[in-house]
Amino acid sequence: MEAILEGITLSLSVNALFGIGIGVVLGQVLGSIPGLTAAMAVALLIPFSFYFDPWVGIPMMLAMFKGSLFGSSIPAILLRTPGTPAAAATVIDGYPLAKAGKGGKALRTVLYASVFGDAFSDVCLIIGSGALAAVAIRFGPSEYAILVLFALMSLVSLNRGTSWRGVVAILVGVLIGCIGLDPISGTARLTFGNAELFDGVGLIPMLIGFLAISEVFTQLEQPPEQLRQRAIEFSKRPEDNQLSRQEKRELLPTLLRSSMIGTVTGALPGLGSTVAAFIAYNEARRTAKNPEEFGKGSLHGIAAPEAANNAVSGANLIPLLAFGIPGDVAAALILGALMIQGITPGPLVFRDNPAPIYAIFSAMLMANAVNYLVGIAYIPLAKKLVSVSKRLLFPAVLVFASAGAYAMRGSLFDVQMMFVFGLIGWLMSKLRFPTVLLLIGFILAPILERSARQTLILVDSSDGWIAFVQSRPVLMILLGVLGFLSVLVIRQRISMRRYAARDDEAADAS
Amino acid sequence: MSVKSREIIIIAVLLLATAVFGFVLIPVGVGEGFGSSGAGLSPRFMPELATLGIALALMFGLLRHVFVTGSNEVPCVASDHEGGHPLRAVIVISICLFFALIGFNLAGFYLGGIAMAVSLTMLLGERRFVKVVLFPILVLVAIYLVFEFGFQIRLPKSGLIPSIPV
Repeated sequence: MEAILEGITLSLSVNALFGIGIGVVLGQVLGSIPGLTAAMAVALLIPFSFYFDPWVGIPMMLAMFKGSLFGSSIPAILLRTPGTPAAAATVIDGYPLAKAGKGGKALRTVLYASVFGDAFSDVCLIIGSGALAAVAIRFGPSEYAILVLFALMSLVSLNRGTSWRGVVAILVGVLIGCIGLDPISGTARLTFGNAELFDGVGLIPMLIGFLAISEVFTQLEQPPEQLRQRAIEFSKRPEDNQLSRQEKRELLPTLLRSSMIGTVTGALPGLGSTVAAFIAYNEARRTAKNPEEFGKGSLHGIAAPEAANNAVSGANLIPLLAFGIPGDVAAALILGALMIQGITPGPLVFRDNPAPIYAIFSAMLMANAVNYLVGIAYIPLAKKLVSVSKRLLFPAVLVFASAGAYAMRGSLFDVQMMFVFGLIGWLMSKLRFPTVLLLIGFILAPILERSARQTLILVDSSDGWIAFVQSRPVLMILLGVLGFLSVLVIRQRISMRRYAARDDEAADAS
Repeated sequence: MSVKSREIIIIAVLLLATAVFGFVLIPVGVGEGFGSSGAGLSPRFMPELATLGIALALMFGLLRHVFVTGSNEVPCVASDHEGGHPLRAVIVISICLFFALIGFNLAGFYLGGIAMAVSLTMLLGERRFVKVVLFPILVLVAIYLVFEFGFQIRLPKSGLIPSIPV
């Protein structure tokens, strides 16, 4: 109880509230600029959080992510340019409503649904991660090795593309994670005498390169006319720019159902916000009184994917905070921000020093409220900001990213690495390799290697593998649970393929 | 060339690169270290395991393309970018790498940044003087204020003309 109060006090300090306010504003502004996705915006700003006090920097990062999720829906709706695949589901109904002059109403629906889904999953995170961490405290290196392997396997099997590409991407990430000094013997690995690589490849150049720079390179392939702005007209009637109380009440069941879908999806590593958004959209259409309105500007069609999408982001932190394992790119970014502030999430934090975790929880709840209030004020301004031309935006992003990558360690080598990773990310997207899996492989590689090697040393000192497993009941239970979950994941993969095949057939028929 | 042939060629090239990495770069770039004789694992174990995994995954992909006909495999090369301008992206990447490797060292971050932003803006088709020149200067002024004043971080100065203050 003392730790909870201490955590709440930390997050309610003037500094933390300042961080939350700045984070939400920056997140919404950067997220709403066409071409900048939520992940890109946060990746660009991570280096700056290092220069703040941890209790300004961490709430700022969390708030920034929440703000950028809402912000990135603005160009998706007003310009039909979804920054993320998940936002594609919002475009289906959001853009027709905006085209009808009701862009203001569509954006308010997005804001309401985003904050609802976010707050719902945050509450689940607060309840779920503490309980899971209590179990995880009994984990040794062997349990961690199994858990990381399962996370990697489920990420591969639920990857939207082909599974062999997912395996290759993750293993390339593991290989990049091997660069530097060996964690046990201290032998230099794949550094080829370059002293800049002895500490390993920097996380920040990796994140900015793969998430922001490669995305800019990809978007620069668009024809010149697409690099120019596109405008949309707004109705001046107040009812077309507001969300009435009755409309909010009518949306509640959809929001609750979608938030639950998003939370469950987000708690499992690898499923991601795109799957959640489309499942929630289909579920909302299936249960709607007027399903024929979907695709023509239905408020339920906007609210469902947005609530699910945002609920995923909170629930994604459950495996991160309980086990220290990021389940998605959002969690990987937040892990990066926590690590540069000196906090390594995992069960030990809950036992030894839980106050920062409770501070994170209360900062997240506080950020939801600030996100809503700032969002209401920002919507009229956002309508103007979305008209920034990509021809001006992208060069500015590239220069800004260079400064951010340099600032972290004061090294031009990091800027060079960032552009090299941007190039690799661009090539990977051309060849349809998932870059997010590479990043997660890179982040998990040290945990996996250290755990696997420590396990082998432990096995050497016991009477063989079977005796080792028998002596660890938690490992036996974990193997059983993971076996069961693996079956579920494989079934999910098969049903996803069936859905895809059915959709293809329907598209061919039409 | 058919999509299938192109994909097989791409996988074959990646397999060749993996072989070079596994048989040449790992032995040269990773020492044996202690651990190879029983205490845990050799420092080479993880890179070798990852490389083996990549090779197996690529071979699986190759076999799928060679033997499985009519599969719903997604084409290896992204078709949605084929109508775009990959050459423009290549030029932009080259410009960025030039500035990261040479330009920022020679001209300093601020002058180099302005030159980089101006060249990229023009490459993307913008010709209006105000936007081509003034917008990059505004961006660099904003970066100067954030870094030098806000965080007290000194971005690289010109190596060619050290008398330039930024």
